[in-house]
Amino acid sequence: MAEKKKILLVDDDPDFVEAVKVIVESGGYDVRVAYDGQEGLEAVAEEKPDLIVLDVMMPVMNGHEACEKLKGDPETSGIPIILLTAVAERVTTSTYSHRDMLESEAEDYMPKPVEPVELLELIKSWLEK
Amino acid sequence: MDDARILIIDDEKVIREGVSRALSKMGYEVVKAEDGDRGLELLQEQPFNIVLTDLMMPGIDGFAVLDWIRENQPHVQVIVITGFATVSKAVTAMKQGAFDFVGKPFTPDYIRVVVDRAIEKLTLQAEAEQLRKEKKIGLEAIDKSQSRLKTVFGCMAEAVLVTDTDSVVVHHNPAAIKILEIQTDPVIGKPLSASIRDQAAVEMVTEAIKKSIVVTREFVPGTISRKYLRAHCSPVTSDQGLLIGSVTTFEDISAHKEIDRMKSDFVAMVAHELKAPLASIEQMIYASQIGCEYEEMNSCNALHKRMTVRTKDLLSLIDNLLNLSKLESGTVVFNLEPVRGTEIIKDVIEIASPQAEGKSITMTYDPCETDWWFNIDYDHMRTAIMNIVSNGVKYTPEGGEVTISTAISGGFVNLTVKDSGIGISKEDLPHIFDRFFRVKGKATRHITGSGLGLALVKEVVEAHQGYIDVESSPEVGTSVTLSFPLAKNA
Repeated sequence: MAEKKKILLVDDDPDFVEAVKVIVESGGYDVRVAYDGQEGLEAVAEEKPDLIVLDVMMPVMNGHEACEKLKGDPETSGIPIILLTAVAERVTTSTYSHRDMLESEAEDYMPKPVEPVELLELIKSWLEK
Repeated sequence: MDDARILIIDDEKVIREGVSRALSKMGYEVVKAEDGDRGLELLQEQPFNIVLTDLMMPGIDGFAVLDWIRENQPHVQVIVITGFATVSKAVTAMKQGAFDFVGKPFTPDYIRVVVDRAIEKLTLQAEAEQLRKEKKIGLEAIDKSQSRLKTVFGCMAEAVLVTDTDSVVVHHNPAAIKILEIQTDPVIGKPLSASIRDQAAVEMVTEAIKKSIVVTREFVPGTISRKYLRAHCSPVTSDQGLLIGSVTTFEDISAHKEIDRMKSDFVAMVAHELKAPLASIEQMIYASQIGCEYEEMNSCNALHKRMTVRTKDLLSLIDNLLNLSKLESGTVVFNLEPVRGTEIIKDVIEIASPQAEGKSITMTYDPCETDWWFNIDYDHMRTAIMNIVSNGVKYTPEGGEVTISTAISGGFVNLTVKDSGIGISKEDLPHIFDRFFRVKGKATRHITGSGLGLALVKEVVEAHQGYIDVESSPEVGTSVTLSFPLAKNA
């Protein structure tokens, strides 16, 4: 049996992380978690994942910054990143607009809350590329 | 002057009676005096319009009477009576202010003519006086209304600028200089554009004049002045309907805009604070559908447990928000009653105990020796103290300690809640009473809360004339002291 693909999940809300973890695990992946951008980078350095699901709005280091750092490093630039963004966050903070998403170097993005089937399909398609 | 009163002073009875008869027929009221002394007495007792006096009398003579009248009752007209031999004396009397003279002997008709003339003069004088008075009142009224307008104009908080049809400033009030931050001196007599450097403002006035319409416009800070202004520009027409200029008022609405902005910020903040946990709950609902299908039941149970917690938190957040808003609006009535300090603290400890026991936290109460009372609203105060104690338990790792102690000092009681918890950083400390502020970091990640608890505590404490003091060292612990005035005679 082939080894399970490793997915890193980064979000500051533990309940959200737990929920998405359940969804991603149901797709047969090995899920590791981190709770902010900084922790995410540390987790990547520790063990390179096959794909990263990264929330945009987080304390300490936000998703955009983490994404820039990962894409700027040849070691990690090849790891596909799916950015997660909440509508509420876009409304209340002008910092994260739709434009930011399009300009981001991340491979893809999804709105929060994450629709389980869509997320699994998205992960699958990026892992196959 | 129909009811004229006339005094006749003459030592000759014939003259007195003759004059009296002649004048009484004409409807005048005539009073007689036989000499100067009696005449002056009567003048001081009763009002007279005309005095007829003989010049040559024993005792006080006609000249003395005339002098006295000119001196004391200048409105009284004096007619002197004199013999033919003494016409020169009559002339002297005229120079001294007598109105006319009558030479003896005289006919009743002649005396009537002279008196009529005197009456006529009095009437004219009275009319002139009346006119003068009316004119004075009129002028005073104009003066008053002008100064009233000037005062109103000067006291207005709004800036007022008056221009002619060429947009040349013809008038302004002191507020205009202040609100519009005008540096030009003088402003009057120059085009508006010399004093107001904002093109849109100048165009607004031009538009109001040209189209003869009222123009309303708002000016953001940095256009006319540093303030947020709302302007109303009205064309002014004369009574004949001719356009003669414009009047513009500028109102400083910076405060309104600030309140507006705060309101929007608050709504946005509330929306976010409500949406974030709801989004998590929604995500957990999605996950639980999958989790309950594919995974063992424990992940399903775990998700359900968290969903329950988050939903309860959300509800308590809304409750806190409502309470806070009620407290801030001042509509909450505090039912103050003297309460024994130990009683309420023990009550709080009892409620907080299960929470502490669940984390194996030792909770100690270390009361001062004095039995103290304070005037409080029991329910609100218990909630406030409960919040502080509960925070102590929440932010203290398992096996830690929370100590509640009291001390009396200078008419105040200091209630201190000290924990051996994670502490608060220097950067976060100034914000802990801000609404929705929550310390974010690894240590607080799994601690839930609305971020409104301390804001509520602050409102309650201040409503009781109390103070809050917080000391904290990261990883050592936090100490919160609430100080309240002690109840007197208790």
